[in-house]
This record gives sequence, structure tokens and C-alpha cells, in this order.
Amino acid sequence: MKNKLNIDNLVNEYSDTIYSIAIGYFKNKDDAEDIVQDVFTKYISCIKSGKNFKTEEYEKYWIIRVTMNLCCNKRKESNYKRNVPFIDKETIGFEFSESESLLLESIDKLEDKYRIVFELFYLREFKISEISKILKISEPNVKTRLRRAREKLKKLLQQGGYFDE
Amino acid sequence: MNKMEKDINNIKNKINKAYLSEEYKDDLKNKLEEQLKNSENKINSNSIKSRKKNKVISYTKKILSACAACIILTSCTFADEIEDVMKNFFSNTYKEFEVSDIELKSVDTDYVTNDGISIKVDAYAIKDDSLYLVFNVLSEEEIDECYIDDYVIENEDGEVIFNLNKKNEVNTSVRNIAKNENKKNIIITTRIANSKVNDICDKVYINVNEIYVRNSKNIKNIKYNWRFEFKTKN
Repeated sequence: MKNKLNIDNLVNEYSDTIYSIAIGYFKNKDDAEDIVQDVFTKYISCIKSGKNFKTEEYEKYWIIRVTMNLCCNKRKESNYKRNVPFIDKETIGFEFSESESLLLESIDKLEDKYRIVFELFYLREFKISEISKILKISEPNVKTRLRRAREKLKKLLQQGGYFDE
Repeated sequence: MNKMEKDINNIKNKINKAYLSEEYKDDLKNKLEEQLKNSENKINSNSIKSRKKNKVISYTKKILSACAACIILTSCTFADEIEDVMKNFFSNTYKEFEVSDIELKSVDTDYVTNDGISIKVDAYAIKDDSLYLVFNVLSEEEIDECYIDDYVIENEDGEVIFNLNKKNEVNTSVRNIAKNENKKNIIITTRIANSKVNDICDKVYINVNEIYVRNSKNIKNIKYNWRFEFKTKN
């Protein structure tokens, strides 16, 4: 599809999507910006090594999958230390209410496989079929993960006193 | 609308409105353009360099063959001492770990053969961020021990998730050798701690690039690309 690499179009088309996914994951600007650059670097090296995206859709799903992968891997790195608050409102430019923060903290505690499906479905509004294509897993598997994510999240929220009002 | 739905909607609206500043985007574009240029220049300069390199290689080959002759002469004289050193090297390399409580999933890969050595991946397991790989090594000659010296694991997106040969790699690998009665078949189990093979990694590609085999007569170092791929999901 895109044989000639146009950096301008690439950045204009995908940078905000990648950034908002990464903001949802890290809730601070610096880590999110690092992820944006890493995704594009990976994209360029993939194109240079001969990868060809057959359709726009495939390209978009690839970018979202790599973004998610890089977010998970960055947090797993042994030298990753969170030296900023859980939600760095100074840098992201918006605030969350107390109950929204509690919800975000609970989502953050989910295992990656549940968290990713949950975020893609509820925060990014992807359909089950799209998530299946992004993560390359079957639709029933997506549904199962989503159900388990909801169950686990409910437990975490109960423990955190989210429903006590 | 219940509380949770309301909160999710609010979070969604806030996060989805997050955008990068135009300044950052421009800066990023410049960086990426530069990166792209550098990678293109590298390819061009590599083709020019390769011609020069060929000349250098031919001289180097001559020097190396002279050195090899000296080494062979020295080896014949001090064979016993060298064997002891290599034995120590092998015995120190292997760190044992338990695999009895790990549920291994078998993998359907074919043997890849080079220079009398056939390798395939028998099974794998992912547990607590560790990736376990079971290599099956067949040799035409009898072998006492073998050691995979260089292997690289990539995911389906070409991302290197483990590189045994890379010294600054944060991941660590330990191995466990199960010797077989049949001295032509050895099973090597490796554990890669802090593996990046997580649940969203769909497929792995393993490139074994170098292997050492030792028997009572000699030690052989074989370089080749034994490549395997298998799905980590059904």
C-alpha cells in the first residue's frame, strides 16, 4: 500500500492516537511521548526491513498492537521506575475526580492481558471483532478476557471502597 | 447510568482528547526524517564499504591462516591443558534449575540440520515472566555436552525480545542439560528470566546462530542459522 515512507503523513495520522493510548496507560506526558517516538522508530525499521502493510486497517491495527506491546514492555523493564505521581495532572493537562482516579488505579492493577482488552473496549471503543484483529486472538477469547477483566475489576473496586457511598 | 459507567465515560472523554503539541510533532518529524536519512545512508555506504572490505578480508584471511597454523602446532603440544580449560568453561556455564513443576507445551517444529548437527524446538512454557524453551539436539557423532552460544528471539513484529549474545541485555538466561543414554541426542532446556514474551505476543521466531559441541575427542563450534517459528497461542 504505502511504499514510499511519508513521515509527515505518518505522524499526522497516528501520533495523537498513540499518544492518547499511552497517556491512558502511563498517565504522564514523558512516558507517553517516549512511546510515540518508539512506535514510529519501530515502524520505520519494519518498513526498511521490507514489511508491507496490505491495507490501512492492517497498518492501524499493527500500530495499536505495537503501542500496547511497548507500553507493557516499558513498565516491565527492570530499570523502569515511576518517579512521577500516578496521575501527573501537571503534564497531561487534565484532572480526574476522586472516583475516576480510584477506577484508574484499579484498572492499572489488572494483568496486562485483561487490562489491554478492557481499555481497548471501554476507553478506545473498539468492537470485539476489531480487538480480535488487533491482538490476533479469537473473538470468544476477547469476550472471555473482557468478562474476567470486569469481574476482577469489580473485586478490586469493592476492596478499594469504590462502591461505598 | 451507574457510577462506574459514568466514570468510564468521563475518563474516556478526557483521555481521547489528549493530543501532542504541534511543536512536539514538528520536532518528532525532524528526528524521524533524520533517522530515515541515516538508515538510507547506511545502506548506501555499506555497499561501498563492502567492496573495500573484500580487499581487507583477503589480507586478513592470509594472516589468520598463518595464525591458525601456529595455534594447531601449540594445540598439539598443550592438548591436555587446553582440554582442561574447556571442560571448566563448560562446567561453569550451566546453571541448573527445576523444570518439574512447569507445564510445557509441545511444539511442532522440524529438525534443521547443518554440519552433522540437527536442532529443533520440542516444547516451551511461559510462567511468571519466564520463557522456557526445550531444544532437541541430534548429532551424527557421539557428544557429551553441547551449549547454544548465540540465539535471538523475535516476535511477529520483528521486535527482538531476547538476544543471548547481547551483553547489555537486561534479560538473563540459564540452562539445564538433560543427558540422554543415547550420546547422539541431547535435550537443552533454557529459561529466560524477565522475558518479554507476554500474553500479547502471538508468535515467536527463534534464530540459533552458534552452537558448541564437545565429545571425548574434540570440541566443535558450529555457526549457522537454525531458524524456528511457533505460535504461543492456539
